[in-house]
Amino acid sequence: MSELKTLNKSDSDFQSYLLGTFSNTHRALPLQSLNVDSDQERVTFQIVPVQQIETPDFFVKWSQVFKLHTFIYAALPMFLIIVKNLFDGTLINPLDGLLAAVGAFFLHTSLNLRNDFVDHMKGLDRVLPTAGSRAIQKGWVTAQSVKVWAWIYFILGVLFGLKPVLDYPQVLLFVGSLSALGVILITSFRMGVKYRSWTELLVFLLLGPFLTSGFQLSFGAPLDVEAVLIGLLTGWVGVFSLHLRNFELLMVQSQARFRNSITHLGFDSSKVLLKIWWSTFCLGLVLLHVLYSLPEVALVFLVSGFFASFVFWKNLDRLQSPLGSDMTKTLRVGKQIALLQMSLWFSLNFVFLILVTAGVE
Amino acid sequence: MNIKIYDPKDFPAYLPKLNLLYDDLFSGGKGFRSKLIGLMAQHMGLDLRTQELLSQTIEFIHNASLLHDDLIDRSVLRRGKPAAWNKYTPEYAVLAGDYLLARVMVNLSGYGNIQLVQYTAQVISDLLEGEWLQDSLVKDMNVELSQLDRVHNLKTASLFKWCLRAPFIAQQRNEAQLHTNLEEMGTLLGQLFQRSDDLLDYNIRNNEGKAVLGDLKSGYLNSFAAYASRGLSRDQREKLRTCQTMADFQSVLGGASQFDQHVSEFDKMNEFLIQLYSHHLKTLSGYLKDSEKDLVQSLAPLTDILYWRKVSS
Repeated sequence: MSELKTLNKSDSDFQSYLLGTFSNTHRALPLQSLNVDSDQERVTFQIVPVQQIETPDFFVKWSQVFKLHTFIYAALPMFLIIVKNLFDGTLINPLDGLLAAVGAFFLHTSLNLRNDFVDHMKGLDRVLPTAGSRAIQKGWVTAQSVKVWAWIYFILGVLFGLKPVLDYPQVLLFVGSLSALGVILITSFRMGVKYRSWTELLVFLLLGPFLTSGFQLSFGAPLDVEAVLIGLLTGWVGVFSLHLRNFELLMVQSQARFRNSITHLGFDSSKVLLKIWWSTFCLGLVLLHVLYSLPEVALVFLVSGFFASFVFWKNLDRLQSPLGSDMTKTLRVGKQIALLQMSLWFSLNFVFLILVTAGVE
Repeated sequence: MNIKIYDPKDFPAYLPKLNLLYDDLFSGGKGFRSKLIGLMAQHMGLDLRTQELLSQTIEFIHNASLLHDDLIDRSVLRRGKPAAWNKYTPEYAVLAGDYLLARVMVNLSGYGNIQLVQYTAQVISDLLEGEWLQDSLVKDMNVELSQLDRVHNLKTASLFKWCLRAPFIAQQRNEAQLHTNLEEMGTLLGQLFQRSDDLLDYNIRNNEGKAVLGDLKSGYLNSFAAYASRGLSRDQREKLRTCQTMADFQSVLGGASQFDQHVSEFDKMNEFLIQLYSHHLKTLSGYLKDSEKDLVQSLAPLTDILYWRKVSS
């Protein structure tokens, strides 16, 4: 039997158990509570020897720690901006663009890690069954090491972004805004800013127009409407993913009195929101390609969007409860169609990239 | 102790059918929750009048939930007798349940402890939310144990939490950390009771002779079934719907030895909850007065009674 220990915030060793620095040989795993609105300043830990912790293989472990699956939301907009500028012949300074891209990935990683750290320290991982990567909760890594890595990646991100910013000071407008938002995101409020109603706006800007506009400027290319439109859509689909997650946790988040669009609207109206949000994304994709691409490509997005919306709407219509397997299935479908549309968007641009590189008109 | 009558206005004589219905309902019940209140009261030095009120409150809420539950589930028997909705009418069953909840509020508010009234109202609200959610899970053969735990925390555990917390609230001892501790203990007792009750449905430790496979035949995958069926294919899960005997169920799981293996793993998982309960019980000791310390020893065997179904002395 493993040892259990309950500590209050006022206890002198409370922080060291939360951070995982209390021992080199043991990990303190915080136990989940079903009482989501309980006092968060009292934690029960299961103390487990490090050797007894089951850890998956190297790739699974680190991809989960770094939340690799979320990289697509940063990678896609940057890839689209590269292809667009290549096509427009405005890749004036590819080196700066490359440095900015690497810097953005480091910052993205830093935010993911910091987010997990804050969730753990604020107690969110003890009430939300799927909060964060669960790597700290499972004892794969300590909170202290996650905190340190977050800082390392943050510094690397800043260093890589330094040259593009110096060469093109207007990038600073976006980088500065992103950094300021990032700092707010990872430091403020008792329950973390991501459970505030304006989180959705932050995510929208971070994965959307701020990212695409800043990235385009870092190439030395002028800002244009197409880059902003691409950003609007990538930010929109990023928030769609957030809405899906909040919808999955509607019951727990409502009980814990978290505020976001989904908890504000409730179950039935959130289904409508998800339908509208998704369909707007699909229509936006069609509009973008009508304006800036070939009609055939717009048609592909029209058909795929129609198909994906039909499947998603049907699942939402069938959904009667915030608990149960229908919810699990609907969310899976939601994630799959988002991934499908994003993959299609990526693939078509990849084909363009090859054609442009091969010199095909 | 007469838990049926706390106030002379409870169960007026001019409502004979209502009285008959309640006599049926209250006879045969184990009164476990009111006994738990009695245990708490004895160690905490609650006066008899307060103990009567708390005992009546918890039994009224529990029995109101049974009246409504039987109707929702269309269970024809309760404690070996025809269920109220079946013997009288569904309308009477609903009204009788509502009456019990109303008397709870009348008597509690007369006691004059607003925190107790508010907390009790919250528990009733939780109970109804749990009932509502559970109904939406009927016919769902893919439901997960973690989802059922949330329902049971509302529906089953809320009453255990109340039994542990209400005596402290009645004494106006409202320290947040004490109540967080009691809340966790109540959750664990509720989970253990529910999981053990769900095992009865698969004839495990079924000393009471409860009907086997009742939940499954009603299309409800209970906590043990949800645990045992994890990892089954969609087709295998669909076969659960047609199970009529234990042999059918064991066959879907891969045979009797697989079934036993699942039971053993399920017990092991719940042993950790028991360990956790014991840990919180030790922590509780730190919040008790010297004269109350024996309460810890008295609460310790509850997991044996509720999960392992050992008969209390």
